[in-house]
Amino acid sequence: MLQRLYEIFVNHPIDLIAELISFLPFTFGVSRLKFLKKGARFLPLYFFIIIGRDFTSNIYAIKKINNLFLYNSSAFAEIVFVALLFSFEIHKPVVKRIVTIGAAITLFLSLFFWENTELSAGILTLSRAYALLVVLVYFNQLIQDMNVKNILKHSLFWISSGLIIQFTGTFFVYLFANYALSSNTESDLFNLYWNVNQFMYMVFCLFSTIGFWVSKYDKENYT
Amino acid sequence: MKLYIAVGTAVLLVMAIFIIVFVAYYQQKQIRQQLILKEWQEKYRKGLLAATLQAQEHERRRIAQDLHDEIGTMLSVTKLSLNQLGRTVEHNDPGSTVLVQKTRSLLDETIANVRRISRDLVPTTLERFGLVSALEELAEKASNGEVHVELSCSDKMPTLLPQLDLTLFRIAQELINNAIKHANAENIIIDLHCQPTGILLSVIDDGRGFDLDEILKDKKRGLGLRNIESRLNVIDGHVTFDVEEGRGSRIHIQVKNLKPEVEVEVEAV
Ligand SMILES: Nc1ncnc2c1ncn2[C@@H]1O[C@H](COP(=O)(O)OP(=O)(O)OP(=O)(O)O)[C@@H](O)[C@H]1O
Ligand SMILES: [Mg+2]
Repeated sequence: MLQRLYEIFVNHPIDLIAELISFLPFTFGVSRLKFLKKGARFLPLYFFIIIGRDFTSNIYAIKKINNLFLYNSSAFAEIVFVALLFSFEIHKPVVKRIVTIGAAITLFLSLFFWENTELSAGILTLSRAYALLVVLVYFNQLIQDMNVKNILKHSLFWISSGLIIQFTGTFFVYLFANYALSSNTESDLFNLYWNVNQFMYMVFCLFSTIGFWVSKYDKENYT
Repeated sequence: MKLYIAVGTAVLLVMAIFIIVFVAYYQQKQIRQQLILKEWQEKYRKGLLAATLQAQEHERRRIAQDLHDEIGTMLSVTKLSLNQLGRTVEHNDPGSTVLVQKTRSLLDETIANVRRISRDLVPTTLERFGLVSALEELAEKASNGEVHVELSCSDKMPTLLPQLDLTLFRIAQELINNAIKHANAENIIIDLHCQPTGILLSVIDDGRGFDLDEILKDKKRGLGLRNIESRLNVIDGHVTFDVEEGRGSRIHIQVKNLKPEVEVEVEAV
């Protein structure tokens, strides 16, 4: 069994790195938990869920069971965590409500795109579009409020930046998932796109880690 | 299809990075401007305060001068003519001599009062002999049968900037006034020390003390403590109130012995 796992990782080294790198933001997030603001406190849990997802998907891979539905379901988690992360930060009540209602609508629509054995282009694109919009709304608030002294020490700026890099980097890959990441795709092409996806995730992990790292300055960083 | 994905992804990524960089750059630039503006406002406020305080000193000086030169002179002349009148009265109406004498002593007292007031208005000793002598004089003047005011100070006091001298002197004056007026103190100690970090002035009394929070809440309170704070504001000083009801008060003033930032450029009007 371990032999099989070993083979998988030798053939897909980037997957191994991507799975291991989740531990980085997770540990940092947990160790900085007391500095984190309400919304950001949920983020380590998100990484924990991702770690759990990857662990399960490895087991499925060993047993040669189709594990793609796991990635579809983690997109649901993504929507929920993005909503949690930003709805505590955004203070205009109207915008806040739009963010939460948006999350509900996105979750609801995603249900219609559910697929068991394929990556669902619908779910993955919807979740990305939603997150991108929320991050842009947050950036807009950041610019309008002008209350952060040093933006490079603002944890949510790093986390948001990581999010939009990851989501813009994978948006088109997922939009055309039926072509790029389906079971009919030839394996070289599939691996290429999958690796792009993993690489963008790693960027997000690194940015989040920086975000957690600078969270200890957050308190004094407001004017 | 491959091309679509590649171009699409590239375009989106570039946009994302552009947005991130823009947000960071714009935010930093705006915030720096805000800080500069704030700093400028603070400086302006301090300058205004300093100018007000200086205008006050100028006005005092003018009043002192007018008192001394005009009223004082008039009184002296009045005394001269009273003396003449006295001599005439002595010849013609010896009964009124007592009245003349009484008027003369009243006049003497008034002259003495005018001189005292005009001298109190301007701290002459401070300007001529420095802070230590001025505080000594202050302690001596304030001491009487009921209160004993004592100055303790380190041997080597550096010469301070005139502005600093005056501030410390005025603050000491107010604190001693307060201790006499409100505290019913018997002993008051003025403590002046030079530390590496700056000058430390403490006024310690053994009176009945007060509750600072209560006083600060009181909207109708006097100006003394507030004036102390604004004076210190101008020279970046600090006041610490070690006070409590039922025991003597200890009030500490700390100022940096540096060339103050705010140079007062307002001249006498
Ligand atoms: N050394 C002290 N002991 C006891 N009470 C004090 C002392 N210093 C100040 N206080 C209290 O604090 C109050 C405020 O003092 P402050 O000097 O601001 O005003 P004031 O002396 O009443 O009026 P002003 O100084 O304007 O003539 C006083 O009314 C008094 O009750
Ligand atoms: Mg007073």
